Amino acid sequence: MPKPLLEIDRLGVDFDLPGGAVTAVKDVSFRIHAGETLALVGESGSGKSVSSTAAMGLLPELARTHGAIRFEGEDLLAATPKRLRRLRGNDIAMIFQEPMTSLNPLHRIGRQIGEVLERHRGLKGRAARARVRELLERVGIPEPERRIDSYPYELSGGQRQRVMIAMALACEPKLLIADEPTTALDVTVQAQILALLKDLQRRDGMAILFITHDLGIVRHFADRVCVMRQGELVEHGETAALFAAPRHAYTRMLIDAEPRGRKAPVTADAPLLLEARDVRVRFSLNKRLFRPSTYFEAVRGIDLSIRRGQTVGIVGESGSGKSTLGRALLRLLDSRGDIRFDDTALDGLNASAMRPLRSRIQVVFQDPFGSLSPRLTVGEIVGEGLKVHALELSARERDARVQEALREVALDPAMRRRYPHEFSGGQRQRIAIARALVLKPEFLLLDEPTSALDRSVQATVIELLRDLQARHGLTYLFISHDLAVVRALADTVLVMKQGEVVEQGDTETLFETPREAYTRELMRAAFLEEAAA
Amino acid sequence: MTTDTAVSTPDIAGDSLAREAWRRLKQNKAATTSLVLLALVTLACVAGPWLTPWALDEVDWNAFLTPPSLADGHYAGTDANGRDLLTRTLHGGRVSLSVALVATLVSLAIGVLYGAVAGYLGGRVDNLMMRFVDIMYSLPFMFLVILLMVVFGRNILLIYAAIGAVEWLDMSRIVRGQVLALKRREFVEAAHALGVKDRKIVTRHLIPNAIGPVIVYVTLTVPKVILLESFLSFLGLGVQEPLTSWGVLISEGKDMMETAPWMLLVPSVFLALTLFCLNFLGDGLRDALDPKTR
Repeated sequence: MPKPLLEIDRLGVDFDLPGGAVTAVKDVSFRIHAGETLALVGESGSGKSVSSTAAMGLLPELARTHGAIRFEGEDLLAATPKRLRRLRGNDIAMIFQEPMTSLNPLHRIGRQIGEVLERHRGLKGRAARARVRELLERVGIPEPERRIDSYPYELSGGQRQRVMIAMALACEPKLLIADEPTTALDVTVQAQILALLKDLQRRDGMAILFITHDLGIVRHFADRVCVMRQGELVEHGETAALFAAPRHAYTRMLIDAEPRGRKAPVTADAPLLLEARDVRVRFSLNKRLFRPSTYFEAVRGIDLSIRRGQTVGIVGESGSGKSTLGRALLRLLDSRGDIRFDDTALDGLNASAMRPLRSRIQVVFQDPFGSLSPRLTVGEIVGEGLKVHALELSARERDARVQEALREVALDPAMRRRYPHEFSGGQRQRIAIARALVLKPEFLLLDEPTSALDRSVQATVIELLRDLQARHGLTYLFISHDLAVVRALADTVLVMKQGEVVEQGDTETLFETPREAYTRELMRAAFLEEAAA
Repeated sequence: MTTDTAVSTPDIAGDSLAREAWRRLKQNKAATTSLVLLALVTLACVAGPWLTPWALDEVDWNAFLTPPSLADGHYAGTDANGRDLLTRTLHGGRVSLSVALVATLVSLAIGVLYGAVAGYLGGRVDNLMMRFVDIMYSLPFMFLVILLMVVFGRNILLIYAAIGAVEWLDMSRIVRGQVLALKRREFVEAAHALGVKDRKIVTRHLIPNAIGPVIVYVTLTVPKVILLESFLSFLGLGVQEPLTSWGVLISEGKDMMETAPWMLLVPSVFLALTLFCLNFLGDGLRDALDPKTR
């Protein structure tokens, strides 16, 4: 057997925190050979990122490590900082999750890539520029000669991630550590980036350590898989074998966490609950005092009708206007066009005329960390709507309603005195759902409610939403970029692109036989694991 | 993996945020020590001048520029005019502390509200409100004070008013910046979706979340105000003899540094102690009011 490129041998990482030591990684061992792709899979908090940052020697000072990380036989944990700096960027390179913040916004991209070359290769001036241009060309940036002088803000998310890859590849590393490199990107862009990495790997023969929570990618992309849970390695093996016959219960649970099931359709004579005609939303780009402003139209004439008890899914990539449409329907944004809820025309209602209706129309947002005020207790957050809409309730009755809502979302009512930061992402999302439910609404706008959650948590939240809908006859408008989730929940689906509806129809028909090229492209990118399997 | 089903916990008796903050503040040693010291300094300044054997403007003809001694009753020495330094320092503390308190409260009240409203309403209203702040900034402070003197005559209340009228400008800018960032957060949007009134959104969601930087800034404002007062007094626009303040005493002491160091040291120690305590107390308060540091 050839010597492994990277060998992690019984690695342990502890963090010394004021409240005592916390073990982030416990006794983890794996190896990567040249030219191979190893996927490190796990949910948030499983220690997968900590393991890889340890390999780069980038752990925070609070961390204590034991075990060994051997790169070509050299123990990195024992290496001097100087030696590590020589290795980083040269032999081992890393790409991060967030392309929006990983580049320095004040420097041209040519200079940022050139910095690596100057540090490790001593390339400067014209030679460096030529090499940078070649790199940009290799990662598929159009017009590299012009883009080399662009600032990061001039590039799209996908292009920025390509620049990050170019930077990582600058010195032809032997090992590339990719920490969730596509999580922040749209599915179609994700597919392109993955194809690019695969292609580059084939040409240069580098090893890739791919860290992700997305099993779909793993199945498509990795040779071998390590599954991590709570800092421990629970299973590892060849990708195909592991997916075919997962040995550990946790692995099986992860694989099964893909959203399943379909929604039972409502009867055709169910009354219309929400109807919108020709909704348009525009934002002024520059306000001027005496000259006409220029506008950007985010939603361009959308028709929509939702029957009572129905779930309508809206899918689209970022910037397609799907969230803007949702906010416009709830009158959180000014829009043009007619919107009718039940028998009331919503357009043109001012804030106080809209207020009584607010208890019937509620919303759950994407980010469970941003949608709860950090300085209010859970009880105060959930009870806030009651203070507006049910003034007749005494404090005691209000408390009872809050407890009931928390029980409804399977949270212990005793937790209502705590603050949001003490809860996990999934629990917070349940709190947000409870806040909406406490008013007993008829219509719920769900704006990417599961996108920020781990797959297994996502499955439980989807189950909860489904259950609540069945119990209370709720009507959902479900906005998501995750086609698998929409498929599991929606009766009908709208596909949006650049503020317009590209295609709409019954969920099953649309997923089985998409008519438009754009829809097909979305599906291919989203269900790439099925194409590969 | 953390399971998503709730872990059963005993129902904690309903603690209000204020009571809980107080409990957390008490756990912070530096903050509680500071609080006790501040209380002692305040108490000394309020009650001290009555207890010392000398009056504020009483001249001891036997003791000019004498160093601190227990024997003659001048526990902190005397100044060049033979007046008891301890009495004067404690008396000066009354002026300095009250100016600090009043001006800071004024700046806090006006600044936080003004900034929060401007930031929340945004657009044209924000523009108008902030341009007014800019205009106030551009008025020279001295000019403002002299103007007030001309209109109302010399009065210690004017110092409070003048300093308060200037200090809230910074505060409103800080709060506005915070609110601008906060109002885009989803919890504010969720409040809109619940139909919460604008006034409630500002007072319940925006201001409490902007409290961290505000408290830090308050701890910076207090020393600034104390020094501002001494600057005014130095120019003859603030408190006048025989009344005094810490700033005035320090500025007098500075001139006598080589011959009578105690004239500089005694008021300086009081001022430094107060500012130290305020900083620690401010830090403690900020942490205590943040539920995350529980």
